[in-house]
Amino acid sequence: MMTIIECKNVTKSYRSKTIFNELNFTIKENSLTGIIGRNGVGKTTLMKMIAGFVQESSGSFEVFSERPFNSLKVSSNSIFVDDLMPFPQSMTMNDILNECRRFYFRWDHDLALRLMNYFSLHPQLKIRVLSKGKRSTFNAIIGISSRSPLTIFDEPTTGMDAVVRKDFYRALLKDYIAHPRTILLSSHHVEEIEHLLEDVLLIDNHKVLFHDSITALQETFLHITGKEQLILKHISREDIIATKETGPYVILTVKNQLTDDTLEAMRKDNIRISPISANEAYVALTQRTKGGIDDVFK
Amino acid sequence: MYLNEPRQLDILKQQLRFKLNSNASAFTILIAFQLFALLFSFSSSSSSHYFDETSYISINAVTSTPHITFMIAWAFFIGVRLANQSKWNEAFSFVSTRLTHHLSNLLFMLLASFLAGFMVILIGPALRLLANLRYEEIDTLTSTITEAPLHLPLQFITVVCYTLLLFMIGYMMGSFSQTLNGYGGLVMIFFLSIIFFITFILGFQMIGASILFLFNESYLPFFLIKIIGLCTILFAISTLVTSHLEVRKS
Repeated sequence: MMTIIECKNVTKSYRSKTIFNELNFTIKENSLTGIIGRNGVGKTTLMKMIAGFVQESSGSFEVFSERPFNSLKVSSNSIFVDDLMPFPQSMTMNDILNECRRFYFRWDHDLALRLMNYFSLHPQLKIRVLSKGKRSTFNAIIGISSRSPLTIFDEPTTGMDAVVRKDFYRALLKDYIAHPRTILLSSHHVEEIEHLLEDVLLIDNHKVLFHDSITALQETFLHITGKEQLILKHISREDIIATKETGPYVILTVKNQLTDDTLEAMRKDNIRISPISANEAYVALTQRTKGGIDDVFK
Repeated sequence: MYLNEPRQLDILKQQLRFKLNSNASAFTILIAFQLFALLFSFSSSSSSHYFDETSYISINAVTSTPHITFMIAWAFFIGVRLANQSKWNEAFSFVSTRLTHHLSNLLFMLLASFLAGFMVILIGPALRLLANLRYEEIDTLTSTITEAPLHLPLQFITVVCYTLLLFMIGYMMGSFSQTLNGYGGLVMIFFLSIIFFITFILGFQMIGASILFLFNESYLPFFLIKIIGLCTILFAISTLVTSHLEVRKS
């Protein structure tokens, strides 16, 4: 499988502020990867570096075997979609779709018009009159219809209502299955995108904290439900990542490093062991050791 | 998966077309400026001479100078606007590199300068017609196309050159203000300081001589060489100062 993005020891900093430090990862062709992380970890900066808008401070960074910054090949084979796509305010949506038809070599104009119709977007309306949600929907339509070999969606659903978000993800998945390409997708709502992601690139504390398949992320942790005293007979407090009380029971999030014997012993003590969702795993991986929001009010 | 291997020339053409579509308002502004200049053309100077209580002569001068002044102001304004950050970001919403972006802007400014040249050529006869309609008797100081056939192309070339030059000055100022994160005021102060400093060192006469050397050229090929040279320098500076500029940062 061809490597689309190769990032070796890449550092990005603005004056004294470091965004990334020694970032390393590769992304293969025809994969749908989620770029996730807490606010301000540099997801957008990373995606803009991939699109060639922002340049790396040091390290080797290649997209389609070329340095992306100022590369015509990268620009021609990729599209960066966010809620702020800066289109000329005086142009109508129809004008912009026509521009897209000329610029993107795999552009599907018919699909764009069908999606516009489905989402009740009138092509003759000017961009400046659109609401935030409609604007995001229009940008998302451009992202899907471009069919660019590298399609980058940075928080594409900002401002969309729940129904439109759901429809957008479904449209994206259907088109991706019919026309495989490399898609990068970032979202604050990991629970909304986990069902369509194949891989996850989790950024935290200036580095790649996790990069593997979505199932591997889910398997990183386990939920253990039962009486706390019983559970603590099998595991130590140091293994516990998070605790949630539900009546007489507790739900503990622990790292999936327990032996088969330990798991079997817990089951015999009526302790329930279950997998966790990718969103819960993401929260467990990125939660701060200093404590939660409750500690602020103590 | 197959990839597109685009040629700079193809993207340049597409970017130029996009810029003509997205900057159509610039031409509307040009027409508005020229209509506004009409007010000044007919009210620039007038004088009345009384011979006695019942007879007097009223002389009204109608000139196309305001049209050229407004044209130059328009070129400067559009030049600055083309180089600002929002226009940069717009260009990079589609396929683009810094080179294709700058070259398409250059072509746009060239086309706009030619259009401005045509407009000024047309304004002369239009003013004569309006003056004929408004005043009883008119005396034309400028020659007609039959009297001096070479005057018209010369007028056209001169207007195109000056408009392009002002486009370039505006474009360079806009590029500088962008590299300094929008501190356009500081750039203006910097440029004015340099002009005052050079004036102080060389003296006003030297500056005047330099301006005359650049613009008071009677031989057309030399005038063209000087304008093209100056425009090339201004464009190269604009390209260089923005060659590493990041786009769509916010």
